[in-house]
Amino acid sequence: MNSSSTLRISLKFIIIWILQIIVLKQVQFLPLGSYYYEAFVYPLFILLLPFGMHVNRLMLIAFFSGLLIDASYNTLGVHTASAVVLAFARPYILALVLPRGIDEAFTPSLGRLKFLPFLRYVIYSFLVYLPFYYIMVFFSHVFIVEIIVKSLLSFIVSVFFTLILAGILNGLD
Amino acid sequence: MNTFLQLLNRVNSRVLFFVLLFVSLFLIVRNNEAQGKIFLNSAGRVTGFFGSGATAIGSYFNLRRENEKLQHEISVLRGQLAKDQYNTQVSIDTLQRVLDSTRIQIYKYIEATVVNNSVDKPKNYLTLNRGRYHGVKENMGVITADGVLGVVRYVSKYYCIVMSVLHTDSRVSAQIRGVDKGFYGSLVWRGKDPRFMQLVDIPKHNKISSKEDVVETTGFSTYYPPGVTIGKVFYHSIPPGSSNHLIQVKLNTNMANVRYAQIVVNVHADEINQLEARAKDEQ
Repeated sequence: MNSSSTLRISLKFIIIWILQIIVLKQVQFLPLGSYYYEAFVYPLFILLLPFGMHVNRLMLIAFFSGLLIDASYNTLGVHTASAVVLAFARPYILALVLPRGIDEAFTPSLGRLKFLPFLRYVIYSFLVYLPFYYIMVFFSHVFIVEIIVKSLLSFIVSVFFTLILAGILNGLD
Repeated sequence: MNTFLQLLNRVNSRVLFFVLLFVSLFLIVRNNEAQGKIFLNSAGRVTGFFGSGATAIGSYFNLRRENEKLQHEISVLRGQLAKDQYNTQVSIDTLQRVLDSTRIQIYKYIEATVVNNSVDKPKNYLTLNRGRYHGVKENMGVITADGVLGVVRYVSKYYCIVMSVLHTDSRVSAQIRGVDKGFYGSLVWRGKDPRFMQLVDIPKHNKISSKEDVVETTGFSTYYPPGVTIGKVFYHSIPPGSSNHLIQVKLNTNMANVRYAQIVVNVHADEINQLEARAKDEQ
């Protein structure tokens, strides 16, 4: 990992952070009945880290980026835990969507993966991330219906905005 | 740095995963406990710092609507002046004085902007941009133009954190407005729908006639002035085997996008609390 790729990764994080905190956090989506939900694009940051990166380093980066998001949401630990889980699961998800024998320096992106594999990559990741996130938010089996419904609602908007953002960030590589 | 990265790669991934997860869970549990007072205070400072920047930009998106709302709020407040025993001929700054031989000011209001808010958790808090510097103290009530918002829990120099009425531990003394309906109960929240609260502890021999009855504060606490509108009766029932009504109240305030609020300063709060403490000692 040289300094120019470090710079690119930091730039990506700033763009994603701005969209998450300055824009999406302020947006109130039309609630379904009493179920309010939010859109999360920030897991995209973890998905876009280089392919060959060791999972330990991945989890550490996810941990600290999760802390930064949590500081803005006043939910210390919730995003952090979810991000660490996603980082841990990423190699397994990538193994599902990527062909074998790929270059170590490969960085996953919308352009390099083509649309359909990238969509699968995002969908699998959010299927891991969102249920775990809402479990951390409610922290009790009493709210199982809320956890399921909110995960599904949030899944739809999150995947939508993540794909748009991935299209924008594609220009950075 | 390189030595650190090489060392990092040699750590067992699963062990590191569980260590990081454990640290996160520890943070969550500490954060969610109401007792984490010191931590919440400092977290409020961090989020207050980030939140006010984000709010400043977010405000531009709906400046026009907020302006209209603000105008409305001013007119509502003016309408309340006489009721709250204000002498309308003096400005708010001088209200703490004894105005004439019969009228003494009880309630003052500090206007505040919401810089952070949540409605989707079982225990919700708001951050306001007023603090010790502006005269805010703990246990002051917070209201909006159309309802009650909560009670100040933590105060820093420039910000305060308000325990929302949408908090499973929150209780508001409330009654149904009307001459012959002066019975009262507690307004509580069960932690699910941010549009509704439940009015409990009203004995069933009291008749509730209209569905559109207005629910208001009683003034039986030092938090809120009497007669602040909270919401409307949505439906009511008497659960089997219970001697009390269960009344579902639809809140007037949209808790999810509230931006402006007034912190209620009860000038007599200390006096009342000291007096009540003395009475309690005798018992």
